[in-house]
Amino acid sequence: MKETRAAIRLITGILLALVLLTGFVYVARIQANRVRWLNRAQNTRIQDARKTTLQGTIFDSAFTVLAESPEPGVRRYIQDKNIRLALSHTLGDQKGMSETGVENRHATTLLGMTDLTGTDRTLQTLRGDAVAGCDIVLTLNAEMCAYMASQFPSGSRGACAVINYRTGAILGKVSLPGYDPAAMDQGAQDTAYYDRVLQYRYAPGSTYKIVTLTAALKNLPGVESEMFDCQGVWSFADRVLQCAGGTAHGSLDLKSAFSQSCNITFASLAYRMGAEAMKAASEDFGVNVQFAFDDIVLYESHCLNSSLAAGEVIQAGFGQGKTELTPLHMAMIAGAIANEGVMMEPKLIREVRRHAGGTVSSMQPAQWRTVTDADTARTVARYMYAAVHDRLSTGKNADISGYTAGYVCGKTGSAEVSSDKTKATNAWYVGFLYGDEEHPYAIAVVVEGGGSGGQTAAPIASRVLKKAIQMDLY
Amino acid sequence: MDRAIQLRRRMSRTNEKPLAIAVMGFQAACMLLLAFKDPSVDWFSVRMAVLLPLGTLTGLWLTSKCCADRCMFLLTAFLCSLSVILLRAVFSTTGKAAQQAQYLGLSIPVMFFGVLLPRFFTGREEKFIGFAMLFGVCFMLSPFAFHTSSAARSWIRVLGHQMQPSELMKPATVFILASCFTQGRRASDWGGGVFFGALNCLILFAQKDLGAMLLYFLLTAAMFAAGTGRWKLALGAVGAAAGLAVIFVVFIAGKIDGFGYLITRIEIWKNPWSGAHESSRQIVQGLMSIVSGGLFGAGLGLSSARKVAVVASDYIFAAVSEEFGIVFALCVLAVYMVLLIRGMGAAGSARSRFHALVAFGACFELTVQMLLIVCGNLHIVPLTGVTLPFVSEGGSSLMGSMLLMGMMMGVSAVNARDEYDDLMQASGGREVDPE
Repeated sequence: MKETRAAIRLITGILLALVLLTGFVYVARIQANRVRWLNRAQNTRIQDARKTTLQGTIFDSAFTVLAESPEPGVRRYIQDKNIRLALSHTLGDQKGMSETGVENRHATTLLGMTDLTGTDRTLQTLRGDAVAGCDIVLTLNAEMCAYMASQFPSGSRGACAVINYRTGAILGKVSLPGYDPAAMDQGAQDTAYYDRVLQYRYAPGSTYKIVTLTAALKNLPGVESEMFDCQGVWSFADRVLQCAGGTAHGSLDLKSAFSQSCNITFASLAYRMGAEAMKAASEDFGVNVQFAFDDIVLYESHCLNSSLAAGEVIQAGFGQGKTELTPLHMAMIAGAIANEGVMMEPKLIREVRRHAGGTVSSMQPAQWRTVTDADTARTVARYMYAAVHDRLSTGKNADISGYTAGYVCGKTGSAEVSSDKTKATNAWYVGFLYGDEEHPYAIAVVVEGGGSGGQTAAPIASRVLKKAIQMDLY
Repeated sequence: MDRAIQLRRRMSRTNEKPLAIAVMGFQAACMLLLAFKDPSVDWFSVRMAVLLPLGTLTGLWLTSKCCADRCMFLLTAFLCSLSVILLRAVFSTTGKAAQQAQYLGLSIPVMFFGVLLPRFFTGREEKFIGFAMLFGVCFMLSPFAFHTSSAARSWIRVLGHQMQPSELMKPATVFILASCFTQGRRASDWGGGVFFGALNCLILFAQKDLGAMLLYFLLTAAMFAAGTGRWKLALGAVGAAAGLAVIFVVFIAGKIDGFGYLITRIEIWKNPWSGAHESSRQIVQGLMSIVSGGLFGAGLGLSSARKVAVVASDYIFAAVSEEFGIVFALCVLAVYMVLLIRGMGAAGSARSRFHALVAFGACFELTVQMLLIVCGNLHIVPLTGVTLPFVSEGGSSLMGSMLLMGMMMGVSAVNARDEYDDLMQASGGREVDPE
């Protein structure tokens, strides 16, 4: 009898602990996931609430009204069609076609389902008003976004993002083609609902040499004083690696190899470091890491996450093979180099306000991770300066004429999309303005099928950054 | 009034009045709110606003008569009425709620039948074991002969009603195992019980009711450990079963016809948001429902919980969470916890090992079942199709749970009588003043 009682006590204790734990997990789960789970396209409560609730207004950073609801169930967008098309993915839509837009990702805020307290709701009811959601002020500028879209060759597909690397604020982003949230019945091109800035994983091509370079500076002491020999072609196993156009760079040091974008040098660096080191360096930059940001949905980037074979490592060295990143992530990587090795959490929402006035919450810049030490970051920044300014560098077109307040640094890329050499490469440019505290901008541009990054993407970046400086965005 | 009765009643140590008022007030208030929610009055809810408190009062009186634990009864009444309230609130028609109210009316006599059982079986449980085992196994096997469709092999149809033998067999199993495991430590003493438990698990496995199988297995193992004190053997069995389960899921389940759904369930559990499986909709909608309520819920009858598939049985906890909010859902968990403490308290203070095991088994079964389904709803473990005791829709499940609860209350009544006898002995047979 005694041991039966002891057993009963013990099992009771275990069960009690389990029930308590369940209660704890229950609260913790809701706490951690509430906003994310509620703002899913599958949540039909949102469509129901839109019929009865006055949805909040969306402003850009200059307080231009982008979307507003004069009454429940009605949504009006900004008049200017160019701005509408440029902002379509950022704003989202009422139909839930965009997964990442503010109207979808932050639907519960606009409907007052998550950011309002019980007191707020009770006060609204007592006043006899229709239940009103919260207004959202974005960090980006609508005019800027429309300008960015206009700089792409007409009819092209691609993406561009400008961020403030000191605060993480997204100052402008555009994904082409866009769609018109005010005319959802007309349909759109097949992939137009995807936000290429956040949801498209592109092979980064030579822009990924920023990561390889950072890894090499850390893992291969003395690499800066080494000389490399490029014959233009390197046969490895069953593959043949080429520098752009098969041109031989000859004998060159690390800095020239970077500024002239020598694939063979960087492939050999990756090979010497080995898969583990290359993978670890990538992961320091947030590759293969599931992003869980409050403001935006950003798809995970990949590098060496499935195979660590030598062929893969070599290709990862210059951003090909199975390496794939989103444009915003590339802008964040450039920004982290400019920001002494600290990557900021990307922010899209400057402020959430009550409909009747008063701030609910405002943007708090947050460091997301340290990608490398400040010294290495400075060295990489010098190399990126060279990649825009050296005599033989690929990024000359990125320079901004008449700009003296800081240094234009960057890296071009021409990423192959298939083994078919006749197919046009994706044109990349990734860079930042260095040493200009008024304008701490990082940028990523990708033009699908744009050919050479230096020819197509770099000029776009130059004009976009010039416009941002003129508009004095922060 | 008979003083002995009065004294024994006092020994169940509950001042039930505030709790009784709170429970009946809750029942009446919720049903009235639902009755006048829409422009046209819902007379079913009005009736329920009277009947639920009346039923509670009647049950409380009966519990008092039996000198059983009134706290247990009142909390059970709270959970049962929550079931009717939720079914009325979540669905636009009264059908499910009315059906559940009928079952509830039927289950109260069943519960008090359970209260009488522990006393009735005292000292004569062995006479019934053989017969009970045989009958139990036949009953568990009955779906093979009378199953209603090839898809659901754990159901039978009786007098126009679907029922699930595994639900109704739970109380009988607790009795059978309790009497088997009180014999002694030798294998010949407990062999019969272990054999019976294993046979039940096998039958449920063949019926592909893996949630129920897990419950029966854990119940057998726990009662074995508590009854015979052979911990190592029980833990070894649990470990071996876990190993077998892993091997089955990883290597075998995919290859056997009919168990493919197991793989699907686990894939859905790993990543419900991918939408790769049509049935992942249920868990996705369930999770959304759970987080929709906020602290104090959407309001009675104002939630969208009906969008979750099978919300009435599998996902009733999501409905609790969305209709009433986090605070109330935590209170419901707390109610289960109090029931656990009271039930195990009755088991711990029982005089005979048989009674201790009966209360222990009943309490263990109800708590583990609650944990399995709540954790399944919260996406902590893969979802099993077991019900939330007392709250989920369904007659068989309610009857089984009420009988188990009745047995726990019966043991508490036996304890009260034993304590009374002790007191009488200590006072030398003099009348003790209950005041």
